[in-house]
Amino acid sequence: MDAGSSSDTWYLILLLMFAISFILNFTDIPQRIQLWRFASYIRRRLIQMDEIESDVRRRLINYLGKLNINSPKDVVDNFMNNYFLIEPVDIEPIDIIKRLSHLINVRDTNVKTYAERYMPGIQKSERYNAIVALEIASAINLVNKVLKHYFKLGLKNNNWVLLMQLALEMPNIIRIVNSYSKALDAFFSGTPIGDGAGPLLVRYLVGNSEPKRIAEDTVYYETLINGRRVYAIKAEGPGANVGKPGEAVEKLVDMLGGNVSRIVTVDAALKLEIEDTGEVAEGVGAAIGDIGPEKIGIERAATKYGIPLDAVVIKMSLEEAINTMTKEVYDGVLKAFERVKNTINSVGEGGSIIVIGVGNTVGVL
Amino acid sequence: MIQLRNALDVFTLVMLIVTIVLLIYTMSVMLMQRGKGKTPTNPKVVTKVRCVQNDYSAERDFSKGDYVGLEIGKCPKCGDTLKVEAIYAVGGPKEKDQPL
Repeated sequence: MDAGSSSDTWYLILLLMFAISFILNFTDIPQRIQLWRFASYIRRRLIQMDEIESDVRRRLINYLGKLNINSPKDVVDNFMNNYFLIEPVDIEPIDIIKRLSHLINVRDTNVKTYAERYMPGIQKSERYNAIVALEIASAINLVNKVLKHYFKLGLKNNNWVLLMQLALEMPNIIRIVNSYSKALDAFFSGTPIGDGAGPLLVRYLVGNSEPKRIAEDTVYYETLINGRRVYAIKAEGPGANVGKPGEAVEKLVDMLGGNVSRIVTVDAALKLEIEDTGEVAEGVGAAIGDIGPEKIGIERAATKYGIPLDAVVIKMSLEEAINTMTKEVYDGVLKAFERVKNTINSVGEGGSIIVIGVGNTVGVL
Repeated sequence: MIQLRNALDVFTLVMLIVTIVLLIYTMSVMLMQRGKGKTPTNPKVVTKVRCVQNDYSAERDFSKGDYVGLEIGKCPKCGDTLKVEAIYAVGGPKEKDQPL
């Protein structure tokens, strides 16, 4: 009797295990459970995204209000969803850079016109800072909308793989969006950001030289360092602005008749997880995170006259690149400054060299 | 009967251990997340000023309107121009390094 009860229990346990194994292997129930788990996780993260977005909007509206702008809420609302850029046709590559450059210029002009219309009587640097702040808010709004789109799409089609991918990417996306949200403070207060490492280096290089305008929102300085003529290009500060370094280099090299010994580009570069912030590395090529027109401008100018093109980069994370410059990045700028000075000295005495400080010049004159 | 009791006891014991392990794991994850959620310390932004003659430099708190290259007055030592040399953040939250 006892032995019979024992075997009955084991039989029940085995049956239960078999049933569970069958359900796990041959039905969609595990996927449904996962879908439910991922959906609930994503929902919580989307609430977090909404909070970040509304916080960004609130801070931006407050900032614009302090600049005495009429109806700042409307200024923010009208900017969202608008000013997108449709990339040019790429199956016909002829003139694609020219077309892309044209579209970028048109968009820039439209954004600047919008800012001038709604922010009259505000200093140019403040207006440029406000434009970048609007761009950040608009980008966060777009990311939030795209995330919700994929979430709804995943739920609609019971696509648990899509939801799983979204859930796995969410922490990273939230981290990046948080960085952008924090970056607003740098643009509100006008402090230099990590990406401004290049322009800051140029500032140190040129001393008290007077800037001369060479392209839209871009200036160059001419100075003598140890008997070498140095032409340094950067965006016009101290407002948030990246200028047009490619166009500036093309014009400057043509102006000098190609009589340039070297071109050096200095920029912030995203570090690998294993690298330290402020590390400096040298290489060859145009150090510029541009989608095309400016980078190709530098490459074309160098190639046209056979001028060696060097790159000096200061490593940092994305968070450090878009937020107020940290001491580690600043120390990196000082290290890069020494490297650039060595490069200048490597040019024969009496030679000319162009140094381009690539990046956003917010907080740097 | 004794065999059944023994079998059930072993089964109950295993389930009990599994439950305790899962509980400890859940609580440790929750505690770790609570630790992560601590408000990070806000970095302090400082402005470094230097005399153009390079005979004086000082650091002070950043104030709105400061930018690198801004002339902010006269050097207390030589009376020449004092300029903002750098603006940077110190003491911000450090990212935890993941061991290899």
